Amino acid sequence: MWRRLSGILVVAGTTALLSGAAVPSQEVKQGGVAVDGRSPGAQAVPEVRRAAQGVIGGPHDFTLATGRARDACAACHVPHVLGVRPVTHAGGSDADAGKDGETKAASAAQGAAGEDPDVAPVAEAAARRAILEMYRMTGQSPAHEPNRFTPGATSLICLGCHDGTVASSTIGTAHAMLAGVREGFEVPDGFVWRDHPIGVPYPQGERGYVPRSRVEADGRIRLPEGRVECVSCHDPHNAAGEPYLLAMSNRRSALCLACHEK
Amino acid sequence: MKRQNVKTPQPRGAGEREHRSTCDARLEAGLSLAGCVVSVVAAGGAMFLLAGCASDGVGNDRRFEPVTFRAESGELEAVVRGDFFEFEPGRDRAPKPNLLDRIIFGERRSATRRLRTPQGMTFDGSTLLVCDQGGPGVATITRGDSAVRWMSGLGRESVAPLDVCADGSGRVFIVDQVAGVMCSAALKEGLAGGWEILLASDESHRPVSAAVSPKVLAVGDARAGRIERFDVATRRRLEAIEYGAGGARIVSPTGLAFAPDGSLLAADAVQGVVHRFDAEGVPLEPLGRSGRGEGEFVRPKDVCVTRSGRVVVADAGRQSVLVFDSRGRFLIEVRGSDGWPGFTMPGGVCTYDLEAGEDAETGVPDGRSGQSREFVVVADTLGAPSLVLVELREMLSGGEGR
Repeated sequence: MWRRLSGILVVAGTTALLSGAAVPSQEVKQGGVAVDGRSPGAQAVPEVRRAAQGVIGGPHDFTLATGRARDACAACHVPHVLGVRPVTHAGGSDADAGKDGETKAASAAQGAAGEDPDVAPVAEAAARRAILEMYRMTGQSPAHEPNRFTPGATSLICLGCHDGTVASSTIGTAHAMLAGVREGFEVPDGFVWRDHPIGVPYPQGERGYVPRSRVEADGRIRLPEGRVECVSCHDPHNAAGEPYLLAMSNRRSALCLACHEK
Repeated sequence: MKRQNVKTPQPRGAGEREHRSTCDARLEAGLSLAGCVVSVVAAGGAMFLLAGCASDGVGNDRRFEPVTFRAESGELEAVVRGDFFEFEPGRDRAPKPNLLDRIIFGERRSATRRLRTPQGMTFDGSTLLVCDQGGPGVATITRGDSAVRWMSGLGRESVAPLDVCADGSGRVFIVDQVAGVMCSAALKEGLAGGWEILLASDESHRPVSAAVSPKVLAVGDARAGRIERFDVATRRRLEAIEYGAGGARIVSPTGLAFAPDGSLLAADAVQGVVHRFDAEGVPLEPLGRSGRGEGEFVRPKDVCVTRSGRVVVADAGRQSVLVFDSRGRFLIEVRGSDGWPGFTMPGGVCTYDLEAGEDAETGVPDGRSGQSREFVVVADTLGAPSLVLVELREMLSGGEGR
């Protein structure tokens, strides 16, 4: 009884946190990057709220399972300032950032708060980056053999669970899409090819395919770095509320036809 | 049925892979132009083009260079000693063998079928068993045997194997996400027939991991969120474990291992912790915690315990392998570095020990080496090398490994 009650309280608290005004204020505090009295994160809030509404209560909401409110997002995202890469000076690159992105939001904050006019644009850019980084993925590195069909960094987040252990498998049963990872999609005898590959470049300009600009126009279908990944067909936040977390309705093959011209 | 190339666009870039991809692209282009031309032509073209690729491949002249990670305390070092790249005989040139190759295949290597997405593994004597959903099946690799064999004649095929364990007396337990936990008592006879379903995968259960001690078989159930236990001798169900220390709920026990003292470790990929239980299932202090700091876990998928009691955890989220001592103190994290690209998605880990006087490469007693050596084999589910060999070495005073 108590466990169930506490679970409900956790979800309720998470919902309030993510849908209420607490979100932007927390962003500003965590990132410490308010610019001209307005947080660059303010534009991101509706998107965050929309994403949160789709996640809560859905299959990617781990709060009931773990009893930790932060698991509504932290399963895939680096929470709060931990995701902010250090931004120190003009022209500073991310190259020296920690691979895990552990910290140093303070440096971004200091840059943003600086009053030197030469620094201001840099600070503003840093601020924007800091807010964006706040919600970044956990930062996987893709498979390291060059020039090979491999799942991209975003798909590795999905596959970290969807390998049949934590969640349903995309390897052997449902999609069988990874059969070609080691062979460049050469499929062996008798292998049942059921579904769509990932990690492949979108065939921009090829006959039979919708131009990439049109595919991505309304933001529902995403092609990270121009490649077809898990998030091209699925929205882990379930914003559209479609079965199987599809990015959009597949009624009359609408999702397929968003890319494939028939 | 002939091999077929699925019509997907090929990546662009330099190197052997690009050349191979170009060949595939040529093949596809040929197929497109031919339109309705029958597959005989395509097959002929494929043979021609593949022959053109025969001198290139993943193997080439790649030579493995060991990479060393040292614990800050200076008491232990982990040396990445070898990896296992797949190649196709007749198409790819064989890579120069490293220690893992030689342990697995001896001096001759002739891979017959590739490991695609290796996950759970175990050593049973000198045989390494590897679960591979992409196979699909369980690969059996006998040390120095120069071949990868696949379990066949199971009576009930394992279609999506996730984990495997063996009790050392010929019994093998396979966790298949479709069938459930299957048990066979015939490893030494080639696993022919005799499979028994111990815990079926259904609406209530989804077995994902297993470990066996002389008395108890433990099975991680991701759907029920608990660890089922069975008496190995009678197959009688024992009391399940649902909570870790402090009442922490078990959510996704994706990796299980028994320590030499009989205690059970359970990697919980969602909770980001390694639960520990004594031989009776009573919770002990857990190992690590969820987080991205030193010795913390993001997505711990599998765990194993070495003979000396060290705990090794494969973390798919951190893309690394973490080593702890028997008391739970973090020692080393093995991950990509300047000299080594690291893991992509480590999904399985098992120990491999060499007895004193045993040859490191063949396992044959040679009477030369005076000390036993601890190795860990890591299955990189999506990495370019499918298996990676790491040696754990105690440091002598003065910071020198032996």
